Amino acid sequence: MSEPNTRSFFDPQVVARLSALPLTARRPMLGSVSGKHASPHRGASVEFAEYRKYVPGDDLRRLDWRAYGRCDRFYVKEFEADTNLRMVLVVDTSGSMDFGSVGTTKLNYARSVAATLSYLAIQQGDAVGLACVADGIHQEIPPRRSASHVKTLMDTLSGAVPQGETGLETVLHELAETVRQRALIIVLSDMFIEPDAMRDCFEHLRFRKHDVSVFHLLDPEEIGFDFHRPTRFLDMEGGTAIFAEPTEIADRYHDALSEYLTAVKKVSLETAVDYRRVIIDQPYEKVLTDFLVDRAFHRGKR
Amino acid sequence: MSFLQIGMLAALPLVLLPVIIHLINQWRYQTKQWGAMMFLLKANKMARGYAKLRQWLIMAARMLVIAGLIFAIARPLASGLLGWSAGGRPDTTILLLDRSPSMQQAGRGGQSKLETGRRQIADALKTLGSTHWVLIDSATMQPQSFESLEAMIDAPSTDGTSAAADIPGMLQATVDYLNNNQPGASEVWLCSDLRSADWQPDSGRWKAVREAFAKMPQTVRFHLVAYPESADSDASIRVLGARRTQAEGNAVLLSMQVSQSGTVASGGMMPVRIEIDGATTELNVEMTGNQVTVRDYRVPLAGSVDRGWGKVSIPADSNAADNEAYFVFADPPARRVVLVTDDREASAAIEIAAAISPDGKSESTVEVMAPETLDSLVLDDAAVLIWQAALPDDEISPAVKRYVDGGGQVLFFPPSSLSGGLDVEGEFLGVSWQSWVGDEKALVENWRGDQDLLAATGSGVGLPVGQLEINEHAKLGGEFTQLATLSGGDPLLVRVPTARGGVYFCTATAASGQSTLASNGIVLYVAVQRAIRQGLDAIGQTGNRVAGSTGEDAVDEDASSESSGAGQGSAAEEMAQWRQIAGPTGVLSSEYTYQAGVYQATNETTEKEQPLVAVNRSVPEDQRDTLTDSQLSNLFAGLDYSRVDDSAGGLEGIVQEIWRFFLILMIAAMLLEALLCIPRRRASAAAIVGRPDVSGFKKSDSRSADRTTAGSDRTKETSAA
Repeated sequence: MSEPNTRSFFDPQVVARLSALPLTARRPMLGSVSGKHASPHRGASVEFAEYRKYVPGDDLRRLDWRAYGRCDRFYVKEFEADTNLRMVLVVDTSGSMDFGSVGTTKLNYARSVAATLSYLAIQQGDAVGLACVADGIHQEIPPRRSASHVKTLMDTLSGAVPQGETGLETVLHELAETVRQRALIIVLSDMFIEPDAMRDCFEHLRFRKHDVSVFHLLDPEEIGFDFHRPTRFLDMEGGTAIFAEPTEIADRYHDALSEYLTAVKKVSLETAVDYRRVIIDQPYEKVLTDFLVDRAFHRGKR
Repeated sequence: MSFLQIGMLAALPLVLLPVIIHLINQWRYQTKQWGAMMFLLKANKMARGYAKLRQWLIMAARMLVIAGLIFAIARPLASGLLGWSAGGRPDTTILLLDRSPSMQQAGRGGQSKLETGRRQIADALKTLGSTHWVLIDSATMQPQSFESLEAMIDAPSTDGTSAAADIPGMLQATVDYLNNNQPGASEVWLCSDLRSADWQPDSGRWKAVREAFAKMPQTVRFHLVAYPESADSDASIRVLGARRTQAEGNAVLLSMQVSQSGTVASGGMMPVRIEIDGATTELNVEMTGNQVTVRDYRVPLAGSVDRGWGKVSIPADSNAADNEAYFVFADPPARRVVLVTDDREASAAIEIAAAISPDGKSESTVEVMAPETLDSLVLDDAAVLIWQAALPDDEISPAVKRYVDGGGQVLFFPPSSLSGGLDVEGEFLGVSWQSWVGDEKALVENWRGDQDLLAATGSGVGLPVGQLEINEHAKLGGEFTQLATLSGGDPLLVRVPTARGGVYFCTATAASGQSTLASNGIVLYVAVQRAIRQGLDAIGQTGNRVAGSTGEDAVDEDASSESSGAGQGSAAEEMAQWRQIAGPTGVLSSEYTYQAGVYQATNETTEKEQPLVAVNRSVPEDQRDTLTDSQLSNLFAGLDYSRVDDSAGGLEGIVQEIWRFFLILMIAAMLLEALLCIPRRRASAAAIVGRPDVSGFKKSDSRSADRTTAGSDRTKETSAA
């Protein structure tokens, strides 16, 4: 299915309803400016952090005179720093993302999620980048926090073409190295890669101190596999076609699928990835609401 | 296996219907763009042996269902051996029924082989059906057509007889019927007990019959329903001879033979009941072996009874048909020989040979007449007429022919005028004296030692015909059968074919110097005595016949060895006039010749009292050996033949409809198919994605993402909105 070059995937009303919810990171971020996210450094927020002995060179304005008055020693009063975050949206644009049996495709669904999240992030001052990937990184937009950057992101999402094989494992390794440390990386993909390869990618990202969230997009037909006639399955990613009698192969298909999903879930637990299995017949607003609320409860500690 | 509705088998290709539907289904595949190919590839790599086997089993079960249905509708038949060849309803069904006494051996429930065979074949044929029914029974061997099976099975000609069966003859009759009527596909059902005596496996007729069947344009299938089992113990009795004697009182000297199959208890006694003219005598015969012969057992006769009949019987056993034998007795006729000679000296040796009776007791009278005194010739009670004179002229010839027609025997010798060098005119029955060969010594080159006057004796020793020297002989003209031939080709003894009676021409005289017939008198004596015996049989007051024979086969032991086989052309006519004196009741008059008993002809024209005739089963009928399987296979080699062995009294039919079996098979196949088609319990889609509270995806819009929260190992499930 080809996606019309429009922005129908972006719904302002959904954004309006979600804007009350903050997008938070689960771990401290290293932003360039002040923001809503915890920073590993001390800063000028209103939240007290600790007393520290004065050392020459410290700003005298930060001396706590009351402490000096009580104990005749110089102490510097420090506060937590609040910073913004870098969010990188990794959207899978491989051929399999063009599949959809419920009126939309997985790619379109990913577009909606990505557009909404990017708008919300920029609105709260976070920098948002985008990587459209398939067998490699097709398009990459570095994170920026300007309001005009939203247009760039929307245009890029709108112009993404679903084609090519899924090469997510290579792409994620590459992003782990290229994206600066402590970013929020949100992967929107059908994840048709082996769970073991997935584990390596996630561990690599975790090692680079990124906060990784995965939206695993699945179509109901891919799960149900409810066919009754012999079918010739054409690979959307250009692979070999398979002729199968669904009634004969369905059991084994489900076994393979079930085994795969179990393995993916296990990998995500072991690698501390915020894994979300999304069936694309669900409203993306609901999915995002759950995502934002859940993250607000688990806001990153300094 | 055969089918009553064989046309339904044309629908057998429908068995391929499941395969065709499967192929069409495969051909109607849909094409689908698919993203999750990795699962399909994994599914393909998984073990699929059972799935493939299941698919094949389902296909086979479906085919079996259709096949079972078609076979059930085609109404298959099965015999005990499932050996009936496939075929539809025949055009003509020919039943060859062995009615011989051995077929009356009873089995379980007292039912004889013949009755069992009739019932089972009737059941089988009723099931198989046919458009035309023909019965060839072993007694008459005449094809009888019937409109319905019931009429054929109930016909009187299917009852047991005392006549032996001639199976090759019955098959020859079948060949003749099929050749004459040219029916379509035919089935021949043969019901027999496989007795070798009836089947005559060494007969040359089998080859001719096989070839005749093989050449037939139509299909002829043979079904043999055999009852080869023998009774454990079966006794039989037959009369070897019965003659009246007046020595030491009026009595009958009875010779009989009792035989028993199986193990004979040593010292066992067999009670034999002898019944003569209503008076019963019982005799206990000690069975010292399987066969005991009682000779000249004296049964006193009342008063002046000089002729009559009797019956011997033994207690009932498994076969009632061989428990009785009939006999007749009477005063032997006088041995009166009429010798017509023109040279008594030359015929002296013949006169002597005729005058001496073989037993030395009977009185023989030789009445010598000259040709000039033939006006007083009386031939009515003459045993034989010996004629050594010019052949009968027109005046006397009719009387001689009448005598011959009545069964009389005539021996012609060359007249002295011929041996004197004169030509003799005249002819009798187309045969005439030609010329005299006087200076040519000849020996007998060959002669018929198997039958007629020069036959070997009962012990198998041949007559010394080859020792005869013939110095002078006459030549014969006309049509005749040579019984002895001289070197050079001229005949010594010939027989002229007649309807009844015997007419012989001997081309040499018994005069010394002309031949050694007198000096080597054995041949002359035996030939003359045999002619006398044949004549006595013809004029005698009693007769013994084998059931089913035309009359010339005397059952008497002595007579059988000396039987000349003389033609008795009017025997059949005479038999047609028989009335039953003794024997089984309820026998049709047309069946008298095939049933044991005592009969007497009634000649209303002449009002002459006809001789009593005792009819008994043949000697080979008491031989109990049966055909071996290999012999039977050889006899039917090259023919479409199937065989079912049964036992007398068997209750099961030889042909049964087995459509129920196929129906059950079909139901079983349906159940198997249904069992195999039960879908395996699939893991639900909700279970696969880890959401047990959600039954489906398309119908529910209340699902939320399945989420794993990092660090907490906690999965939250959002409830329906």
